[in-house]
Amino acid sequence: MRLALKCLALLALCALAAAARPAAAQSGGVSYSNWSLSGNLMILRFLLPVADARRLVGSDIPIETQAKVGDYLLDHLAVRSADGDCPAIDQGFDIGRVDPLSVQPGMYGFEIFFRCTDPRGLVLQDTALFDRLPGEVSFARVDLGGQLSQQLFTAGHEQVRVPATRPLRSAGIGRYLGLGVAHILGGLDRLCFLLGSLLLLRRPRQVRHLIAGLSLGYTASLLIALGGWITPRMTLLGAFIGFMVAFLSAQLLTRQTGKPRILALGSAGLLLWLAAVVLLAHGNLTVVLLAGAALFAGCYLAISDRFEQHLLGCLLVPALFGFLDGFVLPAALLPQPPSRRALLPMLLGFDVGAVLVDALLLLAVMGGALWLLRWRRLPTLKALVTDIAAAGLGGLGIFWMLSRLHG
Amino acid sequence: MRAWSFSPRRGLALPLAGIAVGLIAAGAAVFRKAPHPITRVPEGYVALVNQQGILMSDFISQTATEMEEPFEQTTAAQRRKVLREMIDKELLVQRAQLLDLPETTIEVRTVMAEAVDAQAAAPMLAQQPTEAQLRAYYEAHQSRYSTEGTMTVRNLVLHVGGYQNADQSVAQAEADAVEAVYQLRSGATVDYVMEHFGFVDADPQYDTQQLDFAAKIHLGSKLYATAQGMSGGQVSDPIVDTDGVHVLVMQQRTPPVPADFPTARSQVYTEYQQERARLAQQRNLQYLRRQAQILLAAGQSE
Repeated sequence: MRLALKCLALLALCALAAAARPAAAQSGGVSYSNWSLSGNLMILRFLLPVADARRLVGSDIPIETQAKVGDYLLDHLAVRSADGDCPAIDQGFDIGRVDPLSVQPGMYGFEIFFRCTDPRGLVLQDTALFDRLPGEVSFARVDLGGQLSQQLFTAGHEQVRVPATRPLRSAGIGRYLGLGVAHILGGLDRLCFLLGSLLLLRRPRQVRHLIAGLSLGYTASLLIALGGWITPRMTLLGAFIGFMVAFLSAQLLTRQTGKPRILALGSAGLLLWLAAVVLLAHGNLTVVLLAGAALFAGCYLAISDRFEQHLLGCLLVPALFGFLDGFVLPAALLPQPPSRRALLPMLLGFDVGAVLVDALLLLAVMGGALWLLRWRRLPTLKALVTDIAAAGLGGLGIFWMLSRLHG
Repeated sequence: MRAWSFSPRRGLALPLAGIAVGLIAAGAAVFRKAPHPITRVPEGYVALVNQQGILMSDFISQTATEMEEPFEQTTAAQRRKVLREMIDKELLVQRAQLLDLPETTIEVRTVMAEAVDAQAAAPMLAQQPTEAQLRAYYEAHQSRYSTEGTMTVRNLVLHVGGYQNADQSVAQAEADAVEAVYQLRSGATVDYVMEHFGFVDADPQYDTQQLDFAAKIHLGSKLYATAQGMSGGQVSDPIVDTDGVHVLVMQQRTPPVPADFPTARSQVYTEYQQERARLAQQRNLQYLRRQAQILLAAGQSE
């Protein structure tokens, strides 16, 4: 029976690993656009991460990628006015209609000038990448003669209409709430963490601690991000989320085996060994991250049996996850930072959306589990699920952590 | 001495501290201080444009240059005008960088290439050459240093091939030219020979005295090569060129005189420094080529 369970666990791990994307800490791609009206000219500046551009055109050659992406954008970005389509104009100097810009490292930049005969009743359209990169989000800043607004283009919301009688309002909090929901549902690592956390609950009522911890974490990240004091290194943040998924596996195993010291030493030892390897290869912040994770995992697991009975123990891990995940949007906004005033509804919507979907998902799964309690073979099923989860979470978490550290 | 005993409180305290330290260490790796825009102009700068500074020293020198008086004597209005111009220029430069003009615009590329050449040569030019070095250079290139010669030359030509020309072939023209040269050398006047053989003055407007370099331009390199070796009163042999057969009549000639070192020193100095600058630029390019990966398309060579 145990051999069969191990085989099942291995199969599950392989299936999940095949579905997992290695280095992405975010659920989808992000692009940035700046629409600025000057007279009858709408100047559009579009920024796209190099990795997304490569995925779009399937080429690693920068000049080839730049040319192809430029043509692609020309077909997928448009401006219309009450008087009809505003054509992209030739910018002269042999540039053509799309001017490649020299922007910050890691990005491709393009500029397109749309000339409107009558710049009233404007409609801005961005359909770029939504059909090619699932989960793509485009953060847009629209400047209509000094009137600034923040907009959000996503699949299904590919147009912004400028009202004729009143100023254009920024995208509402609901749009960012939807973004938070999509972020959680579109991220396999997030889902793994949430579902894995459920397996650690001793009593169904403890799900409220999980939700409270997540809420605390997101709130803390919101306050800190609004303060603008710190900003994450996204590769290391993604790696740490991978570690947290693997850490759930260690917690499950500790619970199953009842040998916290062995698990504590094993986890900490593994992480310290990785830190030593990294130190030998190229000493950097990764070593600090791994050493910190080793200390955290070792100490936590050593006292997990007692610590998890305290409120702090219940809240700490989900709060930590929420805190880290709450920084995903502020980090994504860095290339085109909005004002602090504009940032509040964006972050609030995103975090509330994430917490809401977390809570709903946890409660739904918990409800399903309670329904299954009536099933006679539950102990066998529980053992099966726990074994698969421990193996899957451990394998995936380490895979995410290492691939993100490397990538 | 009291024996150490396990206490549940002590048992938790140390691991909790470990958890905290671990999280702090991991947090220090995951997070960094957020970049804050500079909201105050640092000392030594007169303005910040999109976080790029304009140096106070540049502002002072620009104001003095533009207003043609010491900075201290310029008015507030003049300074405001210059500062506005410098900010405008910074904005334009930033826009040029965004548009990647160095990669796309020939004029910008030329200016940049010249600036890099100048920078590469600067350390070499900063070292003043010794007199011995200059003299050695002068002696190695002595033929370059001479006074400018002058000449007054008449360029007679016997056109061939045209219906209005007396001679219809080069051979006929050459034979006539030989006879004309003979008569000129025997004392016949230029006007008589022109009328008798059908010569025309190729450049009547340049029949006056001219410097050698001007004569070279007007005559062309083939005729000038003959002219520069002639002396006053001399008549050249016939010279076949694309437009016919020429005969040069040198009316006055002052040949160039080699200049001695003290006379030519200024020119020697300039050319010596130019030579060194060229050398430095070549070395810089050699270094850049060594560092570069240059791929040529099939069938191309450089």
